[in-house]
Amino acid sequence: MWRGMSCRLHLHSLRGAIIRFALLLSAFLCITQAGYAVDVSFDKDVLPIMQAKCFRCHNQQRAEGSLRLDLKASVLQGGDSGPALIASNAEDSLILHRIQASDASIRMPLDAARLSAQEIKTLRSWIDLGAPGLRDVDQTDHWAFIKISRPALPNVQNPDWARNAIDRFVLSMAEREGVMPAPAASRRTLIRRLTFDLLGVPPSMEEVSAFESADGSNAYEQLVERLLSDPRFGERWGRHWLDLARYADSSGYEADRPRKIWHYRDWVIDALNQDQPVSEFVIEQFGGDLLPQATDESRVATGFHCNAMLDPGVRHEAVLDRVNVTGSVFLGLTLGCAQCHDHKTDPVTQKEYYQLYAFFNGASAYPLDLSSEELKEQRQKLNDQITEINQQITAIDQQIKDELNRLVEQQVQDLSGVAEGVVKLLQIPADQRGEPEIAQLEAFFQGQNEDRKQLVSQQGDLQKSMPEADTSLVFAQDNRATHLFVRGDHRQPGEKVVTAGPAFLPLLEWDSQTHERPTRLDLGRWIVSDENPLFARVTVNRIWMRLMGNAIVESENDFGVQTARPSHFALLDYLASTLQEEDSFKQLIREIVLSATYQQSSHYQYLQADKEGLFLSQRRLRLEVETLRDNALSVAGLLERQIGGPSVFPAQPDGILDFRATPATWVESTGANRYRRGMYTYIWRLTPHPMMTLFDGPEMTTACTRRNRSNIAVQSLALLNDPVFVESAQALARRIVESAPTPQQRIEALFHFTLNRQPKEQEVSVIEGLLRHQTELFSKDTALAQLAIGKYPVTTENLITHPEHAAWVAVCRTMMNLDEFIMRE
Amino acid sequence: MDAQTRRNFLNRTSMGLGALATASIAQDSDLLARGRQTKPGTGLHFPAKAKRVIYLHMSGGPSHLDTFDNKPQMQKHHGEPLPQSVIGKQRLTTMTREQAKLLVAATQQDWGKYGESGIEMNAEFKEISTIADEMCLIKSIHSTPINHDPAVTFLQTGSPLSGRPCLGSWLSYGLGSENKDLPEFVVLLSNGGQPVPSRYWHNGFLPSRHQGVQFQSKGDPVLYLSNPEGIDDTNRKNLVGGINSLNQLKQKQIGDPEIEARINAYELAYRMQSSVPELMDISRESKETLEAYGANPGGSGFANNCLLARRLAEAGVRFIQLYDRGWDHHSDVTSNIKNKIKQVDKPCAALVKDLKQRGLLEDTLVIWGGEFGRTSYGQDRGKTYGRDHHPNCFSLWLAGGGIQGGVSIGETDDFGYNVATDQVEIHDLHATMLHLLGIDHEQLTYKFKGRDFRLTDVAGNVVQAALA
Repeated sequence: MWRGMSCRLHLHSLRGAIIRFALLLSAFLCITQAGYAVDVSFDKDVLPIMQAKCFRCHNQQRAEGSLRLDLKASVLQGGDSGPALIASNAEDSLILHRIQASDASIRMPLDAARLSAQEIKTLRSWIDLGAPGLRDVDQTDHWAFIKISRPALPNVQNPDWARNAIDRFVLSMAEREGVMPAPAASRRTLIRRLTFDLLGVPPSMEEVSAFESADGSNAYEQLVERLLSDPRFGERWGRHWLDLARYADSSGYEADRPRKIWHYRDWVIDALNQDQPVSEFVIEQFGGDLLPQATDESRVATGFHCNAMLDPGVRHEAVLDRVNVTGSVFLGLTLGCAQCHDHKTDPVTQKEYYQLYAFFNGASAYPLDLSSEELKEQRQKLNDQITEINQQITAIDQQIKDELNRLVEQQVQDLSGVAEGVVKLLQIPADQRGEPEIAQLEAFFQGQNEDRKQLVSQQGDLQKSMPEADTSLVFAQDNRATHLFVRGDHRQPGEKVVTAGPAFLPLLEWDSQTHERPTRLDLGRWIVSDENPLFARVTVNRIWMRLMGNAIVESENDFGVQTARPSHFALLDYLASTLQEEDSFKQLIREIVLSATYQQSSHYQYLQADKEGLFLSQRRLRLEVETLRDNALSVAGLLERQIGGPSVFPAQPDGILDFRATPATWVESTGANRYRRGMYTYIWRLTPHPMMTLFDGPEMTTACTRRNRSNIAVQSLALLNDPVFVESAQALARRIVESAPTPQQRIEALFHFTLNRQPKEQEVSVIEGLLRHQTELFSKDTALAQLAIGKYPVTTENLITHPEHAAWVAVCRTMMNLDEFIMRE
Repeated sequence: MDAQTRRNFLNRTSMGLGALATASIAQDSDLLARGRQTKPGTGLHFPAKAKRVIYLHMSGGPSHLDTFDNKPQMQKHHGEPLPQSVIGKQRLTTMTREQAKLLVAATQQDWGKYGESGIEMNAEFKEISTIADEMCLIKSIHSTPINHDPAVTFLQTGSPLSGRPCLGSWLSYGLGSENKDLPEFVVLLSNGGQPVPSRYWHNGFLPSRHQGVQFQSKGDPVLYLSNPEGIDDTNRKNLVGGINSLNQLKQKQIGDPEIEARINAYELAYRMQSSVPELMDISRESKETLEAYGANPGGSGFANNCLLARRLAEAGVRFIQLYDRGWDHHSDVTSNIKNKIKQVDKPCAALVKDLKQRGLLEDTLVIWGGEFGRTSYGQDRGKTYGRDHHPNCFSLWLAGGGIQGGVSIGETDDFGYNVATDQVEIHDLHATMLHLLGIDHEQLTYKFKGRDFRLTDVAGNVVQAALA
């Protein structure tokens, strides 16, 4: 039961409950002070405080002051300073003294934030009650570390609302709180929400009207199926995955060299579109090169960890990142803390950290040649020609060498223009010339030889015309030995370690018949095994977050001991067991979007009613940076549909590449590549496209498990002035002008194209006012009007005057800057 | 109420209101969502001496041994191995770790003592030497990261790992805005050298509006600031008006504070379109001023940036961050550093003097320094030598807002390798800066992932000797 029958103090986890029950709470606190019994639970109220504030130093690994607070006997018996607590006597209990000490040198926790007044009160009440429930605490006895089991569906009073199992969990909580979830959103909102969420683009006008007028009870289900089988699904969800993979087109650090790894990006898109079983999807990314039936594709999959930033001088940093990302992305653990010392709160030792390190230390990234047969042939042909020329050059050089021995000054007929140094060298008899002299002379005569000069220039031309090989970074074993880094310093190698999984998690098994220690492949298999509770919990939580805006476990990259059990734990485990059973991303996403919970209205009033997130309401979300772009291009009819291929270079402002240490190029793409989806924009880690920085794109130094959704002034400048939005407005204006003859109809078309709805009366009058005003302004300056129309004039003559057309461009820009246009509702 | 108290009171009120106003305008949804945080308005814990900061960051790490920390004792050991007792367990970079011998490289600069206070510095500082009595020189700054990026990150955020808010973001969060037409935190870059990525002015976990905004001399002064072709100021105004009217209709219908924030963002963006170009246009500065800085209307560079820094200070921008690159002298430090000094000497001094003349220096804190110092041993030795990164000790100076001028704090050992007295940590520098701005560094906090974060983490002591 999430909340007991009697009233208890919930001070640790329920952020908002404190406000809600403020009055109630203060009443209880008064009672406590007056000496009445209040039910304080060790497990629910006290343990979380101790896990967060005390166990770091007073645990099995550290036991500072010879005190362990995770063992009942040790608490009562105490350490060097005596018993930690005296049951029923908080006033004289050492623990109370130490957490309240004014002298910072003895105040617990040392060198960390003080306990809050409420936390102190909880501990005081609990001790005064006789410290009920005090027990030995196993650190693995943490909600996230226990095996996933499929929870029973809770009973609800109003089962009609529920569309599937998810809703039963949500509804039971809502009913307990005495509040109903938000009503369903309109069909128009739903199709927009779904299309943005599943494909990352808006629906077309036709799709919206078809869905709005569709009969039958399963129109929504049909829509979901259509979207799940659309190839843009792989792009949209692939981009989410690439955030975790820290995918980029350069190596990072100060040097930030270009790298080729876009085949990995395309592999992700493809795998998601094919709905590759989740377990395979993960296993291949860890050890696709080690599979007995390894293919080019499965090797490309190992690009996941090849994406780590790399500076050859600090290779170990890339390996550390691979361990840390394995922690944050697949296990929800802050493994990085164990790089220098045993993890202070989670049961991960430093040695275990380096055992994980050993999995990745044994491999390095190298470019796998994926060139097509044609390309290979072409390169081979050119290489052959170059080799032939080289042979000819070598022959000439040999000739020169031979001649040189016979040459003396007198035999060279024309010495005019010959450098004095060379003349002097020639004066030295052939048999007395040293190597440097010979080399200089050879170089001189090589430079004089016309045939050779021509061959060299031919060779240069051939080199230049050589198309680059089509490669992608993949893992290959190089089997280095691993030593623990003393205090995390790679220059202080300590004990030698071998690959193994952390002891507190289920055993990492492997076939010891075939190999001595587990490999990356075994690590991947262990991550997705049904015994391992973390991967499924972490993954479903993150998918929920992408679809609902809020996560079930807010600290989505840290499921460690310090993270409180979520209020919707049963729902989390329901979803996690679904993922384990179905082994399918699409099935999980399908189940979530089919729920009534997902289909709730995101109107702000409902969000306010659910400040604590207990009913898991829907939220209005600003579109991500790539989707902002795709939305504008899509509405304008400009979006290029090609999936995959090398990254492209859409327009970007001057000066972005200025403050680099190494050169980088940005040759603006033309033609269709100018209007590709945002996810195909080339990513220089050090100097990404400014839209990425402005609109909270991932930083790509390491895995980005969650993006911000900021709202700042410079963003409005970008939306108003970035060429992609300017050109989209121009193209949209042409679409609208050509789609309908009268201003009234055009205004309707404008709203349907951009927002998929009818305009409201007041909106029409604002737009009419704008059109009037802008037309007036442009009438005074027709040259300006021409510029405003820009790249997309109407094709039919006399359809509209220039000032009117320019006014429509302005109106389109207005619409494309509206809150409603850039929000998924 | 005596005059002093009243002034303090007024100070407090106007700044407090400023902060409150920002909070209410922006309808900080992060704050609403996360529950109770430190209120920005209460960020002022005691009367402030400074209202704003100009941070002149010399990116790459100037050699303290060739600028402000003269070590004549090194001359007689020049070319000898640096004693192991001095090196201790100091971490070396990959660049010098393989070097066979670490030989003492004494400075080859001319030195002088300046002002009534007699502060010693490289004689090449012809102009900065004239403001010696305004300066508080700290020769005992201590840091830990040995490479540029973590070192700058540490200096900017109090942590060598990226992800925490920068100095300017903390001030924007704590003190709010003094002007409604410009951002609170502005960044200006000059010259070539180490990369200066945009995460050096990132808000970290603070709400995004506390992010720094980079102003540029080339192209658009702020990214995407200028109108595209076919839009002039009149139809732009009309257009933004249209956007905001329609957004207001939506806001009435939905009530989402994010929409309100967006309306304000468009208004600020609109105002910036005229305020920023006006601010960046230095052509109307007097000939004397331009000459004093060595600034060049229509051009770019550090001198222009210093003049812009004064204009930004005048306009009430809270935190003005300059990055001047090219101080990473691994080779020929002797002549390379002279060249850099020549580049920055005049504009830095002109800035301090100009601020003073306009009565702005008393409430503007100016900070000058790099992310670390350089080694006492030479690198890349031939006829000339360079110096490697050295975070153990380096020099940095402060002037203006509440700083005691003509003071020198701390000493390094005879080889300028370790701090000998009065070590000042980066967290101490941060605590001091916040103190001057009227902020108790232990009280300016932001709750993130269940923890109250501070700029100074769990450390920091105000450097009392630096205070006026």
